[in-house]
Amino acid sequence: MEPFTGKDIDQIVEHNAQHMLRAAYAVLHSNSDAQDAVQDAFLILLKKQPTFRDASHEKAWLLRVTINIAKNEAKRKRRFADEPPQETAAPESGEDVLSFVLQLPEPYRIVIHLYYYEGYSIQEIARLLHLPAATVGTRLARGRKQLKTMLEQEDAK
Amino acid sequence: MNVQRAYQTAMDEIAFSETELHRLQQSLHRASEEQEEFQLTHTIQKNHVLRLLLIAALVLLVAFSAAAAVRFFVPKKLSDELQLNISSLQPVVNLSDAASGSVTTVQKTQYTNGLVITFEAIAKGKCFVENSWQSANGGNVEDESTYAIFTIRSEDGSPFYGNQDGKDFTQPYQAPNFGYNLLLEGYAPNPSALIDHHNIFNYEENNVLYKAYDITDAVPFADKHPYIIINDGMIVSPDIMRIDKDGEFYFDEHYTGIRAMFDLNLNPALADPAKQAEVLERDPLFTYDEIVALFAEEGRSYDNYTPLVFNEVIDEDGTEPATAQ
Repeated sequence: MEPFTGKDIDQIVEHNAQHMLRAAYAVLHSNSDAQDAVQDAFLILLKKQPTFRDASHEKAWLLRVTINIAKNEAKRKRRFADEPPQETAAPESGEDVLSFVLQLPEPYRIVIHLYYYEGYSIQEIARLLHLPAATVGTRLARGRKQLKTMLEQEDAK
Repeated sequence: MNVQRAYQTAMDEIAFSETELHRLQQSLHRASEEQEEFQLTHTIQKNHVLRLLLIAALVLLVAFSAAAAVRFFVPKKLSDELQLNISSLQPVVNLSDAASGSVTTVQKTQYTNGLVITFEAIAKGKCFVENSWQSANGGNVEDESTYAIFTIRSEDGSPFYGNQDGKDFTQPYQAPNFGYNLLLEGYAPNPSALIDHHNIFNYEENNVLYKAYDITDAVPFADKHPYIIINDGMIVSPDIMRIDKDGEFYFDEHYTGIRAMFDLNLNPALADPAKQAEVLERDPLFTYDEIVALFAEEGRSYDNYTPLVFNEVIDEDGTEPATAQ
């Protein structure tokens, strides 16, 4: 198997880095931590040198690795932090929706991100995250229900 | 307000700047070069060590050939036989744990849709071999969780994923999903009550797909005769799974997808009424409207779905569900 060339690396980064960053941000709530997770995911890619069937396979692989790294980092932070993690302020446009999604439990917001932002179906998310499809559906339904409640409460203020 | 569009707009603003992206590419170029240098050095050293090892092995072979010949005629010890029974699990479970009783072997096989599905064993996550499940799946196996381990083979011996090393399972468009559901005798089938928040782990070696299904929440129901169902549909529903008048589960004759059902055969002493109550009190699962809406979003129909919830117990006549007390 041929190792990645400099050109390969540049293309893979250009095609996937922003998607990976957003997925990591959905888990970590921090831009700098999310950037670190993306870099670590690319280092794993260089080490494993996997062969991808097509661009969508490559993206799914990188998203999964990034999400796993971000989840492990979030777990590590929870374990060692005396105080709850400081959350980075969300950008101004669509601020409410993003900040509310970031308040959802981690399993819900990962599924919501992949469904609403990346446009994966329930079955595709199940394969990507190695979860039963029923669990993905449940998380999506519960996440949406919580999100709806939060938005309604916000409107009522 | 369109929630999805607002979320997408807000997320679009989370981005690497041009400079950050360029810096990332540069650091990856450096890492790639360092890795190539390391591999080159490592290969040269490895070849040298291999030559030395080969010479040493030849010397040992000659010196001990007589002793080795005698050893082949010594009868197998009991522990060796035990290890033979669990040898099919060797790639994924520590054999020492299996021999010490921390892994319960089952070894029951069913055939479906050109597949051979064997329920191999039940094991705690701490018994898993790190280099198989964990490297393949991102290290999320929980030590204290309980897993049902299956091997799945194609009858024609073909691989499932066919990738470069059999360890990458992120292929959303090909191999079957092999979803699972857990059922309890006397309870109506439920979409996901006992598998919520639980993962499936994969590992493929020599065209054998190993699957570890988290059954932690089924263990407290050991006195309720839990079953595990493997199917390629999204959810076990009445159009896949039916219950006869005696309360026995069976697959609907019109369902032609992957189907296998195994008795988990858990030790009833593991039953835990307090934990059972905890599971039963969880948030309600899908409502009928929610699941229909989810399927509709994906352009699928779910007309035949009948909303059955976990805390509905089948009446004594085995047909109509009634709410549990």
